[in-house]
Amino acid sequence: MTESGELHRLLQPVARRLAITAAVRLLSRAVCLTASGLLVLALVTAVVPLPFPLLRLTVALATALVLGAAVAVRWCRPTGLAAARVADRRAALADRLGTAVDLLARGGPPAGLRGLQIRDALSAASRLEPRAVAPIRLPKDAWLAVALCLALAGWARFGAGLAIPGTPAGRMAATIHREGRVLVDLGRRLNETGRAGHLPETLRAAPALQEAGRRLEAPRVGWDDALGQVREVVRQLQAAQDSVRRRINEAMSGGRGDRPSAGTPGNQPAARPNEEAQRIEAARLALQDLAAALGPGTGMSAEELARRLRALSESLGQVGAPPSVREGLDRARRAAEGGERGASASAMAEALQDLQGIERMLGDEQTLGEARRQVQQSAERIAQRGGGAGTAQSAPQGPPDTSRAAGSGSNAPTPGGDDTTPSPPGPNQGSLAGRGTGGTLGAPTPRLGGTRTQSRLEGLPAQGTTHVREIVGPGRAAPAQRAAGRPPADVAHEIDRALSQDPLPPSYLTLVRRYFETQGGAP
Amino acid sequence: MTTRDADLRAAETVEEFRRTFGLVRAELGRVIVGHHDLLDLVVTALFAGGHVLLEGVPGLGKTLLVRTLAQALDLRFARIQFTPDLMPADILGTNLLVQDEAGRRRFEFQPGPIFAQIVLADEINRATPKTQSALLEAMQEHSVSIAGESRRLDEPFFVLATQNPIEMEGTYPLPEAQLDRFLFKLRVPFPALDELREIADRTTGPEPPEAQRVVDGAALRRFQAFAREVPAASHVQEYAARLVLATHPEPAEAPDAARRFVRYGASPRGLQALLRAGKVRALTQGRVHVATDDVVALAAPALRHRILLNFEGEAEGVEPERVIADAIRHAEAQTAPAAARGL
Repeated sequence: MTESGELHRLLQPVARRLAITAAVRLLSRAVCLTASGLLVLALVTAVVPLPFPLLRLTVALATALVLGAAVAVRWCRPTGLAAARVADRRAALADRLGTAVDLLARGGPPAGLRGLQIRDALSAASRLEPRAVAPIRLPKDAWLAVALCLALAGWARFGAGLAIPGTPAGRMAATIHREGRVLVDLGRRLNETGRAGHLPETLRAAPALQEAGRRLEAPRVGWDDALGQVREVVRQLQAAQDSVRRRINEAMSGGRGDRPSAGTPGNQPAARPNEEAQRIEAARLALQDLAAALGPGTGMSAEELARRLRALSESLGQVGAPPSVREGLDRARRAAEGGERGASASAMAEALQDLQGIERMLGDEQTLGEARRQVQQSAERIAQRGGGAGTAQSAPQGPPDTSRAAGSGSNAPTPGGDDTTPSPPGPNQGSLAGRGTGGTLGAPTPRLGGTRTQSRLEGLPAQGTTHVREIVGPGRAAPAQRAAGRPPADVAHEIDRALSQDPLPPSYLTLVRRYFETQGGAP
Repeated sequence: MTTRDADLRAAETVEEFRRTFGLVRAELGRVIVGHHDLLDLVVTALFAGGHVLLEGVPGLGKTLLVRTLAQALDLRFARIQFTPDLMPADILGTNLLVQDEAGRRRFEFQPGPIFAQIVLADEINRATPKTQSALLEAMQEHSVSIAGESRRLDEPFFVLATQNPIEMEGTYPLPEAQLDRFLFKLRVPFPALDELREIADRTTGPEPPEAQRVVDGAALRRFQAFAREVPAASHVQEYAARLVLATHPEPAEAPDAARRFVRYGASPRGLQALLRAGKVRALTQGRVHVATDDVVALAAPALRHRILLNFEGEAEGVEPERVIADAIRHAEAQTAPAAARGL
């Protein structure tokens, strides 16, 4: 090995240790700067609501620092001359090594005084102790880096989400707490609705919603954390809703999966969910009437029963009812035509169960959709960073009266509940966030004290006896009822006009016309 | 000659250099009491081929030092007592009109005392600047020009000048150009009590000590040439250059003392003096390369007479050593390796 190679080999450990020391020093300073910046940012978030994902930031910055340290070790590696000069200084070698490296770099034969010097340097370098010459010590500011990291950890443990009252961050915290209460209330209502209406997905979603609300109600919840939690709830509700929609589509298409989903373009315009629910509800009611007509003492003839079952099947076919229901109705019709009333009743019961199952799924979907929309609104209010938080304009809407959407599904909670467009402000809804014009919430609508009735009118129009149940409000002697009679001429005219304008199926139009004829004669 | 032979020869020469240096130093020490650093520096200047200006009050042994040095060396010695009426021709020599036996007249050059090899210019600041300037060419070029003819001086040529710093009346301060020719300016301190007793013992006894001749001119010239071969690393040269530059007030990064108190800093001859003397010092220290320690150790004697203070510096009584110390710190900070600076 040449003198140059030998000298560099002897100096290599020193250079490596110097590089590590420099990298540690660099890393320590970087940690100080980073931790200081994070602490300042953390303190700022106590005044101004800023997105501050401390854990993610810390992990990302720590990763960057570790990678940077690895690069720094290579980047800070001193040259052979620099390492030699440091060794000269620390081992009191009076520039022996530095001069030798310099002479070797100049080239030329190492003879005479040059040779003496180089060999003298090699001898000194061979006695060099790298640990003594270049000890790897923690830099002086390492304690500061440790202290700052501890302060940062302390902040993450005890100060995260701290908001000074009266500041934008304080207003943001109030908004988060309020939205937390809204979510808890919404979850509770979802739970009640799910139990009352046997809505499994709604029941499953309710605890997560309540849990998210409780977390938001907890003290020191950061803005970004709260927003993340609410968005996670929105995602869960959306996933549940999509799952229900898939099952509905499968049921409606008879397992073929070729039915376009609601609200999406297909071969023909698909019905909106609430319209779909209304149609299914109407079909269920008609089927219930027919089933009741099979009972003893009704006196309905087999021909009449078969005719009504055929009409109902055709009507369901036009509204896109599930094939299983139509098949059940066909089986019931064939049994009725064959005089097998028991078999007919059994087939109708199966079809009725199918319809009720679909009706529950639709109710599930609508309830989840409405809940998702409200949680989405909460997320939007939180995302506005407390601007105007605590004022009437951004006051959150109350939870939906999901009881109307559940159960029989006779009343959809909100028209277009699957639509993401928020509904216009109603009498008890206040204003939408960011769109209000001031004022406060009005007084809640007074509720009647009567017992809730699932359906007030049972039976098919113009198809026999109609059973009417009336609600008698508190303090009233009799239900508000008007005796059936011939409608006025202007009403009859308006009905004719409406019927001619709406694209109703001819059979349904016939049914409507026959209903009015039954009620009061030809208009 | 193989590399090994060259190494052996160099090692032998180094050893001979150190031994001769020690002998000369020891002969001086036999006569001169104390002043160890002073003697070291005088011998260093001798082996480096530079001239020395000794400054001290009368009676401190300046002249004795030079005379002893001349005794230790097998060289021609001349002493010039500088007085206000001393003329350049009294130093350099002159052409005299002489008549030979045949009665023919011709000019014959009569060399002055400058043609010796060791010249003591005693109380050099008492002569007029014109006379002082007669030494300029001799000290720098080792030759003199007389009547249009240039005459070489015998090598080695060594000038030791003395001056008295307190009796300033009737003196002519040396011009900067003249000062710059001296390798070192050495201050002769007053001896301590023990040294005074030793002086009394040595000089009042029956046989005052005398120096023995230990080296001749040829050997001295060989050693001077050998010392020039001592390598100086780039970073050491840079350190010396930065040190010289740090005595100047003009650079933006000049040290505070230089900016405040200095009118003119050290010249490039200062850099040469640092490295030339540094090479000799390295050999005497057992090294065959110049170290920054050599530069630092020689900074004051090599630079103090090359720094011209401004009015503020003079008024505040600032010594050039203060400026040099500041310049050393400045150069140290500028040339230290990054790892050593903790970066």
